Amino acid sequence: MSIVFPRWTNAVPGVLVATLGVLGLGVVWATWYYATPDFWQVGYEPDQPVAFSHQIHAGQLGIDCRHCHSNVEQSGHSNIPDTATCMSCHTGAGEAGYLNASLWAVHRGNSDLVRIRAAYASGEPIRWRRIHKIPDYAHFNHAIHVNAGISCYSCHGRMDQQEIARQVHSLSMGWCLDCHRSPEEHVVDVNDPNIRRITNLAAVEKQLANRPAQLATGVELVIQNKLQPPQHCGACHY
Amino acid sequence: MSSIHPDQAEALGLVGKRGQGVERDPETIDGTITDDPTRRVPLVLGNRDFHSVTETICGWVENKTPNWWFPAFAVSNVLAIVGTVMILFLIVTGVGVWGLNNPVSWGWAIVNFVWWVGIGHAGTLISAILCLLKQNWRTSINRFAEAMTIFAVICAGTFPGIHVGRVWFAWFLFPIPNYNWIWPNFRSPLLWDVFAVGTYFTVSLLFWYMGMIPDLATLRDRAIARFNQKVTFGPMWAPHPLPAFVKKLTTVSIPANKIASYFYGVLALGWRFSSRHWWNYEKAYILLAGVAAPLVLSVHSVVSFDFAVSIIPGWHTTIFPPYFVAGAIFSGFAMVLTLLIPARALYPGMKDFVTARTIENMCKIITLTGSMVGFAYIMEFFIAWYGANPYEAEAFMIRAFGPYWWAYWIMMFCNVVSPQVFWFKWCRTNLVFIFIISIIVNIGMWFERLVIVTTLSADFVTSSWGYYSPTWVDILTFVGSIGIFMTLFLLFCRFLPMLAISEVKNVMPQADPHHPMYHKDGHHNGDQHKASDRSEGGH
Repeated sequence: MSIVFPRWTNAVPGVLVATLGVLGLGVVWATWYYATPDFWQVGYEPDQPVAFSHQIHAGQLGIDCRHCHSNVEQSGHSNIPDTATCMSCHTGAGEAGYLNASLWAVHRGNSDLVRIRAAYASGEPIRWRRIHKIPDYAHFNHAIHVNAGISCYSCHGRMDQQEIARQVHSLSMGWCLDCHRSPEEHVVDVNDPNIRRITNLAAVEKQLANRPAQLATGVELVIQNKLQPPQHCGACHY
Repeated sequence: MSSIHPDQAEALGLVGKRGQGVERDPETIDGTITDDPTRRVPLVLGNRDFHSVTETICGWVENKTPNWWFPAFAVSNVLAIVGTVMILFLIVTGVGVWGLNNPVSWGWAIVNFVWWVGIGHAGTLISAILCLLKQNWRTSINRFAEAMTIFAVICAGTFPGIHVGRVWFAWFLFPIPNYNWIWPNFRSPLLWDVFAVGTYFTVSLLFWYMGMIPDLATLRDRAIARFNQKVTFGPMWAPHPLPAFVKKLTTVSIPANKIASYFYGVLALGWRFSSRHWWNYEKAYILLAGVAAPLVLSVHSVVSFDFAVSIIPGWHTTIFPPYFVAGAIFSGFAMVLTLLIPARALYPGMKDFVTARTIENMCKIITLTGSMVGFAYIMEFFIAWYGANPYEAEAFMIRAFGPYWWAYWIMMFCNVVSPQVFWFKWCRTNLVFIFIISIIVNIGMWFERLVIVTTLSADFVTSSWGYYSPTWVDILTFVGSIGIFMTLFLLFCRFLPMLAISEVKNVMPQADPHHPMYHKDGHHNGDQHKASDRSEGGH
């Protein structure tokens, strides 16, 4: 036996194992925390070309989501309204053009609405920034979910409280499967007098928060409506 | 490993014969071929003592690089680079660069995977199963075969990894918690395969490395004593008028013994040749042998499940696991011979350790396993007929007489007919002949996997039948994998102890304390390996 390394090197393996262990745990933790749609997607809240407020329209004024996103019950794709939809209220064509004449004064010179009207006149659409994106190879069908009793709230949260539209859920595959594996936690009854509308976000939030009550009605709805959310690959990846 | 040794008188007689100018006797070749079961032939020839064993085996690492090594390494390296470029090309372009747009979607990638994994079986069989069976002739080839196993499994693992297409998702192969909230399919043999090959690689690597620690320590100790010169890095090429102080500042001299002793010193993990170290070593060795032995059988069984668990006629048969294992050992031994015969000729003194008897034994195993494989081929046909399943029968008829008939008959010739020559003693002792047969067996086993994989070309839906043709990328990737394998192997030959020094010493007559040479073997002659020799002899 010859001496190659000085005595202090005896500590090297231990220090190395400890360092690599800490580093390894750090990498695992960082991946778990950062490399997720929960970190990168949730809270996405881009500036839009027109400062449309869901809080005013859906919240204060109580306009149903389907007034603007009118195809959500018929189409897989929930449409973003065109400027003509805005013009159904905000024509700017004198007092007679308004349902509520008092708004005319407020909105006559609103720069955003001036732009909407200009866009309507020219036919050039407003270039809204898309917020909720899933990859090309995954398909989501709005109509099926809404008609099965899944409220807007389950995916979009309290949109009626959002000044600027924001993504509130990760939209990851695991998040989808969570609901597909236990739909009773999310399905609501539109005939319930407390809810009445699938777009009644406040009422749905209250209902889902009361877990025992939700599970009781949810299980019943799943059985009654024979809800079998698919979990095979081809359900979404087709 | 054990201290069972050849009968002293017999061994001394035969060993002595060799030393006295009898280099090649037509009957006994190098003195080790005998049909007399009462004679125990020596395992190490050339009248060697422990010191000369150390000198010879360490010399292959320490002496000047042999001339043949550089061209061999250059060719291997070029092929390895070609293979790597092909893999990069596949990754940036997509798996469509292979001929996979076809019902034979497994293509050459899986053929190559199974072929390499099969080759990787010999190492563990030799080191674990033959160790447990106390076949002492294995000591001269086990290190060599284990290294071959490691490199073959590396080549094997590459192919499924790149066959998945989007390689950055290869981690989907492992059950890692993920944001898709799904697991790999635990009922799929493809997942079992990941576990089987992963376990096999880990255990083989541990076994190989652990067995090498005492020898690495020997190389470490010798490095310190051997190299006195310095290796100089600096502008020695610079033109003459370079000022002396610039030269001095930019030149670094490192004592050569530092590089070598650090390299082997780190790998030797502080081995001190103490009795306690040897005691732990022996226990660990036998335990790892016990762990590795069932793996020899399980790994290729699981690889065969990739096929057998499916419902494809021609694949869905219970004979697959034993027949795959036999085939794996068959091809593994062939590959060991392919590498061993040239190495034995090129490295001075290797003939004393790898005796004609050792090679003869390997030939016999090739005949045995080749016959088992041949039996399986015939039995598959018999069952296809006897089972009265028309689809199964058709699958086999297509194999033998369909579009791939040529592959089938190449396989039959190489795997069934060719190994039968080793019934003849001349064939078992003629090295050139053995080398050619070993190459033929390697080719045959590759074709066996091709025949099995191309069963997909005639699936249930006749409208989608198709013929797989490799593209140039397929071919160069396969050739490149051979280059990667050879590159790793040549590096192993150059820098690591190719034979297990301590194990070889253990099967020499001197390892027995009652042996007359035991005391005069130069234990106390100032040789710095006396510690190693003493502790080996002492149990």
